[in-house]
Amino acid sequence: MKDYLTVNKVSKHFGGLQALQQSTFAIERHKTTCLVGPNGAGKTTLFNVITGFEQPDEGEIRFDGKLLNGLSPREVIGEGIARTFQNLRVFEEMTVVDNVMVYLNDDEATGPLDALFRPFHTQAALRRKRAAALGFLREVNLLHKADDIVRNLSFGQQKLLCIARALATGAELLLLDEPTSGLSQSALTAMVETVQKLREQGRTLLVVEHNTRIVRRIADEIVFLHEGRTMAQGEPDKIMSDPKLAEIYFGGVV
Amino acid sequence: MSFFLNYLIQAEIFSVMALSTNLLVGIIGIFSVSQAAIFGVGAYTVALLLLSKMLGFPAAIVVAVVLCAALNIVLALPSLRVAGDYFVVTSFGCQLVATAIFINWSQLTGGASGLVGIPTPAIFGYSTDEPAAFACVSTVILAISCLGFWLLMRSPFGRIVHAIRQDELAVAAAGKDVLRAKVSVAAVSGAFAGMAGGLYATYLSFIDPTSFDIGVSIIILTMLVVGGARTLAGSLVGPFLLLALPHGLDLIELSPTIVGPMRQLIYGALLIAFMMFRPQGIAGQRL
Repeated sequence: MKDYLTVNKVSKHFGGLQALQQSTFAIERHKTTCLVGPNGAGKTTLFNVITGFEQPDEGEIRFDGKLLNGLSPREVIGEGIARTFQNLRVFEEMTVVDNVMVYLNDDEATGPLDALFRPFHTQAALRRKRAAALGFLREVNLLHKADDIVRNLSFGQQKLLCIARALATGAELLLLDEPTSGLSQSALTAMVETVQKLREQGRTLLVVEHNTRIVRRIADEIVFLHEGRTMAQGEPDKIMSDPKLAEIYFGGVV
Repeated sequence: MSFFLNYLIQAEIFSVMALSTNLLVGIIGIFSVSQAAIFGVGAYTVALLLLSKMLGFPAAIVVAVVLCAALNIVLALPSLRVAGDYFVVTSFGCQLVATAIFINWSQLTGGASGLVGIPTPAIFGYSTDEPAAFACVSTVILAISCLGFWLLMRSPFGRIVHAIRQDELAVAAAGKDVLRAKVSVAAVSGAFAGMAGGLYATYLSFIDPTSFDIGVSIIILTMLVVGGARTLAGSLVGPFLLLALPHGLDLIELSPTIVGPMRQLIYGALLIAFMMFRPQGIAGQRL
């Protein structure tokens, strides 16, 4: 059933710029959907309206049948959608494991009153959270960097940390914004392996990706966005062999 | 001995203030320059309650703590809308309003001449007229503040608060309640300032608006910068070091007309020097 996440006629404008125009698509549970399209197609805006960072001007977004319009980012994550950011937004001055702990879906002893008046309970909770966070770091092969300050990590490692943070939220649907952009060849391999592992685990992923070779490797489905409109949705082979879309994507050079 | 105890007590009071400022400015990143206003509200509250004989010292401190926590939440609220430089200007406004109230609400505050004859704390029947006895009280209050600060920093809450300073949006994306964390930190910071204010009023037995003006806010921030932000040690090193300077000047035979400006000059020069050459302070991190 293609109704896990449905985006229905969603529009969003910023001043004179129409970032999304009646964009419509749906994604299936346990599948990886790649969102492709040239720069400025509205991919990140789409992520922002799904996750509550922006509100759509019109149209509706549903997740597992529930309307997401009007929800704050915090409420969206409560519904089970987590995202990563193109510009990472990691907490650079903190350790890797502390970054993951902030994202952990475990609100036990997170208040100041717990810290002040139930210190032993809080420290026990802290140890449990740390163990859980280390588990997510193991999933992205960053366990050996757990106690390093994030600023000292390579860009590729910081991107893997973003995946670990998203996993820590316990969300069912992960939105990954350009997980492979700007990576060296070895970091790229590590990232693609990680994404493939998530896919094999049966997670539902919506991934913004530019590299068509990577798209072919990871995508079950492609949603093609151009000038804020959904131009096509379908299987990778079908979309990528469409000469019209290729012309839009590569600017006529095929 | 009393010279040393005088220094110790004042340094302890300002250490509690530095911890308060560290939480708000250093850790969660709400750059307030109105910390002296909260300090003053704590001082006036305890002074008035003791002068009117309405409450004893421990109860008066509790009232000051609750009042300052609530007031600091109100003062921090603009930070939810305006960030960075804009908040500095907003809090500067709050500080000016507080000073105007301290000076002009003379029926309550005694106006520019302030309040005199504030009784020293009597704790469960024991007087603290002797500096040594008062030093015990201020040491206990500083110890409680340090423990509170340490427990907060070692908790999951501490991690969320540090994260908010670095990227508020990413904390919201983690599904955490940024508003609740900011309000909580403002409350704890206010509570510390209330305790410090109460100690200050009862120790000196005299307060006036100049003890809580923008200059004092700047001195407290200087203590934080020199000691080093974000660490417990920094909030102790700063006040103890900066207050050693005027006490040191007292030892040299200088005319009082020179000592005052000289102190300002030294503080100003220290602030500039640390910002330029050691922004992380002696035992902390860059603000």
